Amino acid sequence: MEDQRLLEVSGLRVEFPRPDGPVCAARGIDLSVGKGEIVALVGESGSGKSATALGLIRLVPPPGKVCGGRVSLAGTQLLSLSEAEIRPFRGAGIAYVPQEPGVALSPVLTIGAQIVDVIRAHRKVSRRDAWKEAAASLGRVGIPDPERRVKEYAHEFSGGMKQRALIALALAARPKVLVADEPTTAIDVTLQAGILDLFRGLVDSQQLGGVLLITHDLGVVAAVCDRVLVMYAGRIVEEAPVEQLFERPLHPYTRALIASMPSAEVSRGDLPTIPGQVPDLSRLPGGCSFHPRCAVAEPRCQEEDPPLREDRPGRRVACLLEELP
Amino acid sequence: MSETLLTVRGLVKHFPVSTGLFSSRQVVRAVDGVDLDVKPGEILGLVGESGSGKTTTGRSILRLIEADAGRIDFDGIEVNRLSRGQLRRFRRRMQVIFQDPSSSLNPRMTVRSLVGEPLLVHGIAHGAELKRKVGRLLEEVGLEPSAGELYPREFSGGQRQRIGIARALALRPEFIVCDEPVSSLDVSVQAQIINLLVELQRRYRMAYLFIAHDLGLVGHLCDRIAVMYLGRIVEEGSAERLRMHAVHPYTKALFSSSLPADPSKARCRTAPIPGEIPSPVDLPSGCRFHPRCPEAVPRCRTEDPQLKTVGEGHRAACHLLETGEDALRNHPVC
Repeated sequence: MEDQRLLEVSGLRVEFPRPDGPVCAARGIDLSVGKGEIVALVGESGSGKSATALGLIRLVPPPGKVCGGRVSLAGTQLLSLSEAEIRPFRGAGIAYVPQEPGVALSPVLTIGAQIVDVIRAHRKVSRRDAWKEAAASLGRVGIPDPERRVKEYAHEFSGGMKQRALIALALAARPKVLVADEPTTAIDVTLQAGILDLFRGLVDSQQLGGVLLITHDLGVVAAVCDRVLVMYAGRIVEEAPVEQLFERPLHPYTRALIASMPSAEVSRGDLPTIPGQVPDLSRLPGGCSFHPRCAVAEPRCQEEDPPLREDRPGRRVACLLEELP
Repeated sequence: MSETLLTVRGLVKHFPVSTGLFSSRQVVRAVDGVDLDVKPGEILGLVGESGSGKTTTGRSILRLIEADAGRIDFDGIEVNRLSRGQLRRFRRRMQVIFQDPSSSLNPRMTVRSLVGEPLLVHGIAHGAELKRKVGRLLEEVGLEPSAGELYPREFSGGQRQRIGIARALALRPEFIVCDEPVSSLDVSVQAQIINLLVELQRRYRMAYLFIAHDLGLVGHLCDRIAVMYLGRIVEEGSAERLRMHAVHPYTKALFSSSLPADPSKARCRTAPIPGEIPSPVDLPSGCRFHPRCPEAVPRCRTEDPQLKTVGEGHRAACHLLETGEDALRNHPVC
């Protein structure tokens, strides 16, 4: 069988120096995105999901740095490339949609000019055709009146439109893999589904190889993703196909998180809660990072940091308990 | 005590905007004729997309900003007629919990002075009595009394929101406007705060106006829901009725685009409504929702629909309801 994995990451570590020693935001991340797959990387703020995304395209803002691991994109090792060598892979290989659309778009160029730049940097297309393509790409992400909008500046766009323009910008280079960091968080719910459907459509029609979708929203995961990786305190704690994750979450954190989602089915005031709060990465508890908040922790959870192990085919979990549901 | 605690009629708040040096002055019609009723001890959810006027409605009711028109009655008192001095005394009865506890708590004040300030201002307690009361309040929201010595920055987001809740609770209000109180919190701590809000609401029989965009949360928490679009209420009814039998096309679109944490449900949804919420400076003619409405008829472009009763405690503003146009069409069934 031909290798269907587009993106493969193993042992990725991302560090940020602090006066009291380096803080490890991603502590040995293993993940892969296959052809035709939308993979979710789920976690709360501070779980290291954005650091992972920035690490795998080598865009960690200095003085932060990638300090270990391998990232392979369709067979090319990205981490061993020089800065000049990696440039053609950014955009055309992996495109990245950052979280804050307000900062990521240039204020002095029209939206169209920015998209045209990307198109022409990666492909031999006439300026005229590139402008047509830019307008079409805005239409594709659901921006109304794209021929007019393509000549406007970022400040003339609403927050949701900026977010969608960024997605159009990322897709302009026709990437193999799209890494999207909270792409629908700034968007109203009525528009969110449209963006997710767009990702699904592009992947299903093979215009896009695969997507790594970073989110904290389990609704987004449920709606569009094929496979899910759950992060907690800089580690992946669970991996599962999407239906299985929601039907039978294995890790106590995933179980508690899904159970704590408010819905009309749970009677008011009886929402299952997770005690405590998300740990500070510079002061992680010893052993399993989740143990102080875990309902089923045992004494050894304070001592031993559980590795991510295969619990059953297609499912990995980082928990010392042998009897998972 | 009257049947309704809070009655809002015809609330209007417009903000002037200048778009350029020589252009004429325009207004953002943030709230444009809102009617609301809140019963004692009830949780009313106010939902809608950003820009629908939810927050402005909440703040106008509390007179944190002054409405341009409308009448606000609270337990027989005409709130919008109160003088500054009267309003200050009246504020004991209605309070607010803000979305972002990091920006709504003064970073230079200790938790004790933050939570004790309302008690001091209203002359309810001082000295040792104040300290004791603040300690009790902190315990009620799940913090140690010793937390009073610390500053807000020394707490996590969830704990800071507990401080915000203790401050709102200090004067034992009958009504609290909760403006997205959990949306800035980590997902794993949201449930703690939601349960705390429910527990306190039950213990003190308070009423909440709960502003939120998360329909799962609103469905869990609220007795009734009012749906806002471009400064107007387009539908209101019991939470259950709206979930099962929403009639306004906007409400239906809103409910069907919310994504529950369940793949079988989240993957089954109708086509999303096109476009996005228009600018409240340049409002569409007729029904404000008509440019995005999948069911619009010619009349919707010219005539502004009024709220009409469609069932027990259930009102909606849509022309299709009159023509009997399959109004009770339901959410998709998979």
